Amino acid sequence: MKLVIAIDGDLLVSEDQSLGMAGQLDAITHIASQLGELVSAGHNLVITHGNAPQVGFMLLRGEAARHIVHPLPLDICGADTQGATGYMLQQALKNWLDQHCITIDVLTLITQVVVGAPAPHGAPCIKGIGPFFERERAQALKKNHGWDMVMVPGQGYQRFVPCLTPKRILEANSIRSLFEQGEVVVCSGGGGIPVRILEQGNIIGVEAVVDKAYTAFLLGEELQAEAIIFVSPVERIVNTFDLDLNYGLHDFDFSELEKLISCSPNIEDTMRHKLIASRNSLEENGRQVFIVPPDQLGKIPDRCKGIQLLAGKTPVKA
Amino acid sequence: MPQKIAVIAIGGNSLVKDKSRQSLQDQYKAVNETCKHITNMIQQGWTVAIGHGNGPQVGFVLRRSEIAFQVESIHEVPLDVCGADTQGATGYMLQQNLYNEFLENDIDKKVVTVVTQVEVDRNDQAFQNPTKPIGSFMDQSLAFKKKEQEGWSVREDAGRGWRRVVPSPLPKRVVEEPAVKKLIDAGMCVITVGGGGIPVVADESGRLVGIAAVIDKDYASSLLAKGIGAEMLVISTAVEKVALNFGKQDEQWIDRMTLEQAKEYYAEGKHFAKGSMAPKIQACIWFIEGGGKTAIITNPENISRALAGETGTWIVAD
Repeated sequence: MKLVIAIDGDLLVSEDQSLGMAGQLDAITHIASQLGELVSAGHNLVITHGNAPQVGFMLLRGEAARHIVHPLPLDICGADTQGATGYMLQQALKNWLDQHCITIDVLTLITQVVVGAPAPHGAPCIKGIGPFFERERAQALKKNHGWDMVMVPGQGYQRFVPCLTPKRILEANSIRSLFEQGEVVVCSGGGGIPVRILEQGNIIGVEAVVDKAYTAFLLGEELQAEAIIFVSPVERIVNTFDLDLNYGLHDFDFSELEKLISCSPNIEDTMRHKLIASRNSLEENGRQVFIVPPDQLGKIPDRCKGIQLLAGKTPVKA
Repeated sequence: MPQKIAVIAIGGNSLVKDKSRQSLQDQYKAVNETCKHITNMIQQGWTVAIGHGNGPQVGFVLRRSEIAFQVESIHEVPLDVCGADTQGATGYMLQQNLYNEFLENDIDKKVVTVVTQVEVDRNDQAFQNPTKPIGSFMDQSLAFKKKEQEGWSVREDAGRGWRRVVPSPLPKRVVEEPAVKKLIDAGMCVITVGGGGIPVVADESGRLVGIAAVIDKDYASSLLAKGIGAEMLVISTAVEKVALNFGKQDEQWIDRMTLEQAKEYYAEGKHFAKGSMAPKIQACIWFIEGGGKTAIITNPENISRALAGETGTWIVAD
């Protein structure tokens, strides 16, 4: 099958932050072995990933060093994390494939997305990014940089930026060209670097975020993929769907999904984006969606324990 | 129609002009200028792969990382990941600017950045003798302090100040070369081997791992040019032409030299500054020896004139 894999950013860092970059590499190596299993089973993969924790670290560093080194705008932070996370993913997956004598190349493409409207109705349309500040500093940042500073109870002031919907992946041709030649492509990390189109048609970076869930479906369209796979921590899946993952694959049809979105106000933002993006896509084209924890990724589609979202009542045969 | 393939290696001065112009806006402007020259090249019918330096950029990433570690205990970024970061960010700026230039000039061409690893030999002697300058320039007293307190190797750089030096092993293999070749063959403009590529070595079991080193971007670009069957290698630097006895009374600018002459001058050892012009000449020699037709060394503003044979230093087979 042609699969779009979208990995949550927090699965690519270590839960234990004291492990630093070595912890990240371990986490990535674990995911890579699961991705390897999928390649080994004959699937064609394009991989995208979140970057919230990674951009968070970058903004913290930028802030700590602001008095000495120029800080980074958000689009550049996104590009940085695409480079770094892509590098670690492509190295780890290529190593796995080499060890299993599979001669498929893995590479990362730096990807921009043209953004349009705010996130769809019902999904969060702003997102807090980077460090928390004291009130005084927050006011200075607001004054000096025009940032929107929001008080997050118990944490302090944080910068909030718009969460926008991706309309078009600018590097879609390059991605498709390599994907169709059988290579594994890592792309549009963090949902893609958001850009907008100016009057003359030229593009410029935007201080905003894009959720990878929407970009994953755009990729699915561009590549005519058969399924979109969201990889998420097991607790996040269990909490959202309120069920035990030990019993195989759970089907959720369109109406059940609708109900979940409208009746569960406490779903985490990152999951809400996935559900809403899935609902909107299912309505249109019925492409299969899976939501699985990392250790189940390699067993997709038939043997995995996770969630399957379906367009209609009748399960689509994998 | 067979494509005319060229690789252009753009120097750090195409990205950061001087110490007063390091901010991202300044970098973006500098990149924009260079992209106009590259676009010119593409209008002349060349399919272009672009390699670029990342010295100052890696310096900024490292500095932020060091400061944030000191004041906020945020984990430090290893040098290979710094390289991946800068490939992402610089690649993004280049590809966005090129997109805009192509649009403005009605060129139907796609551009994309490939995150690129370059394998080096783990027994390379360079690991015993660090030579490659990275990071911002320092005065002598700061350099000596760094050497004492943080164990850096530091060196005076061609009269321009002091810099940190790290090992610079020779590139052996561009890991993502097959993918770059596919994109080039599809007529795309590809940004690759940023900063000479992310340095990796194969461990005992053949797995690639990142290492703390810097690969000369001209060497890596030369190796890539050979690998993808480029006809021409263009090395863009701070001077319009190469000189014999550079900076001395009997300084003599070179318009054209054969491979044999270039090798002779190089072997004489007195003409080209180490860590500056010498590796560029070496990169050209390797490229021509490996079957390349033409290598040109010039500055960004003279690229078009140099391609037309009006200036630059041409190095040819015979």
